[in-house]
Amino acid sequence: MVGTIILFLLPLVASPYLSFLAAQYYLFGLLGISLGIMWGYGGILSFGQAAFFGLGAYIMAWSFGLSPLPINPAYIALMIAPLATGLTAGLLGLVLFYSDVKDVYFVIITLALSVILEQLAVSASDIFGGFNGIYVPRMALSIPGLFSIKLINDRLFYYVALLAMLGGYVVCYRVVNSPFGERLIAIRENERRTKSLGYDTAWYKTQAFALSGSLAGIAGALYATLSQFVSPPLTGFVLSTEVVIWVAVGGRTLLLGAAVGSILVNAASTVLSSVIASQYIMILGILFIIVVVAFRRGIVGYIIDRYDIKGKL
Amino acid sequence: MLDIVAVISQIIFATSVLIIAALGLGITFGMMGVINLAHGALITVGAYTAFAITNAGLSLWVAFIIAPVVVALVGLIMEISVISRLYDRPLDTLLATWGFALVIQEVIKVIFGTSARSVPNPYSDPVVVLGSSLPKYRLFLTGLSIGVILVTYIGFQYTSFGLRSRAVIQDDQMANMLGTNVNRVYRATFMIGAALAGLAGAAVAPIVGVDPRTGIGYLVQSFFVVIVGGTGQLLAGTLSGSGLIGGSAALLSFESSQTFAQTIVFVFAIIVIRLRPQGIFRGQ
Repeated sequence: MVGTIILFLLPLVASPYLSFLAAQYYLFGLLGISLGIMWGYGGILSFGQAAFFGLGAYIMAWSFGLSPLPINPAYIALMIAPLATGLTAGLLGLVLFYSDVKDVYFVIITLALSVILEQLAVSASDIFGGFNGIYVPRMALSIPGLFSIKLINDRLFYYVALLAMLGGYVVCYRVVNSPFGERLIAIRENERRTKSLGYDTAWYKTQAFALSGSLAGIAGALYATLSQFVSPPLTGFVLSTEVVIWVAVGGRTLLLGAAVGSILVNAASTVLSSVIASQYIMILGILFIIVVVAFRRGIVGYIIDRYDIKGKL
Repeated sequence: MLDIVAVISQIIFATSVLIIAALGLGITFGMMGVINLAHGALITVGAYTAFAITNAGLSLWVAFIIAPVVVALVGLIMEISVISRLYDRPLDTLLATWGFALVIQEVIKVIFGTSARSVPNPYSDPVVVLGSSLPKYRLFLTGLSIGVILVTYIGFQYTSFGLRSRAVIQDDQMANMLGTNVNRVYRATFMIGAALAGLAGAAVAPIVGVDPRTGIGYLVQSFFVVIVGGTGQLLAGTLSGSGLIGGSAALLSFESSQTFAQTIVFVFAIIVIRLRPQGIFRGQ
């Protein structure tokens, strides 16, 4: 709670550039949450989360590219992006979960999905702008007839990103604490038993994947208009695997861990990559291995266990 | 009108390369139920070993011996330091191997730099078969893939190690009770998988060049080979998987862009998984 208030006051003291960076981290945080709900609660690891993030980003870019729309193009993108990415994830989930694809197989299929989408984005340059990418203007906040503010100011965009992340967090928090969330956890613990109790586990997993995909889509759409540029790597292999590292480092078993991990690792990468440029990825790789082997609950999970503060959250 | 010989040789060639690249992945996967995401990075290590050896003035054939040894040692380090602690957690093993992939790739960049290198092709002259000229090195790779399959088959079918490892695949607990040191079989298998990645790296180095990302491209294709082929029958699976994935990509790339071909193959692989899960999830 105190933390949230601090986050809201931060732009007052931080420079615009810092606000811009923080806004980026929050959107990556939302991407992390979208992975965390699948991985931490459903026990399903998607290695292709960037595919949905990138798709969301391109939808934002395309909506600005359409001929002048009567409504704010960003609003349209923010409606279409979660629908499209959620639907894509849902359809993929229907195909994969009902043919009992799980664990390692699911990892590889999702990984391949994002690799293919990245290649498609590079080669179909008339749609995706190819390697050079597409320029995206900053979105405007507007109510027709009342006002319209273009979010050029990074401090203003900071709040949009923060609210998006907190919104995503609240939605996921409510979902995992609902009966649906309990069934998801039951699937993670023992899918066969959950199934034999009469639950259609594939359908629950499909729904969770659709939710996860649409959150990643929103994060991507906002990211596009924040960074004002979309290019194929946003959908690709590297980002997909990076999200997994962020969430693992933060703590995959908690939504908070997913968000904090994404923000921390990205902040660290900004700070460290200027100091120790080339070794940064190596250190991240070693850290990742250590976390996977010894700290399965990640940094946040470890702190919560160590100081026993779960009740206070 | 397409040149039939060219098409067929292209399919056979794509299949052979994929067999060499994917077999190591298939062996570790079949044995431990784990995809080694560092397989691509290990292929890259093999390719750089080939570069270092030819750069030192030695023949590429020396690299075909040294590269598997070097990469098997890298595999041994991975196995002892981390993988051996994770055998009961397959998904975590997969993640740890990805950590290794990052580390290996960065180490390569530190040692060799990021620029692309090349390895001389020992057979530059083409061979004329049925009126069309085929690159000799590619024919050699086809022979190599057949050789690798034969050696693997004999190794698993007729040696005591092969017997033990098949016992571990079928039932590791029972094998353990009957006196097989399961962990040692795992370690040896992981090293064999790595050695094959090293061989693959050395083998493709003269045709695709060497850079820190050389292996990544083969990684994704090799996944599909393993998934589509299944793990129940390692060799038959790798063969048919490589044929389907490599062959169809090669065939389609005559008519369309390579990206489009790969996209089609990806969709195709998903359809295969949807229609024949039982064939794909055999074994384990």
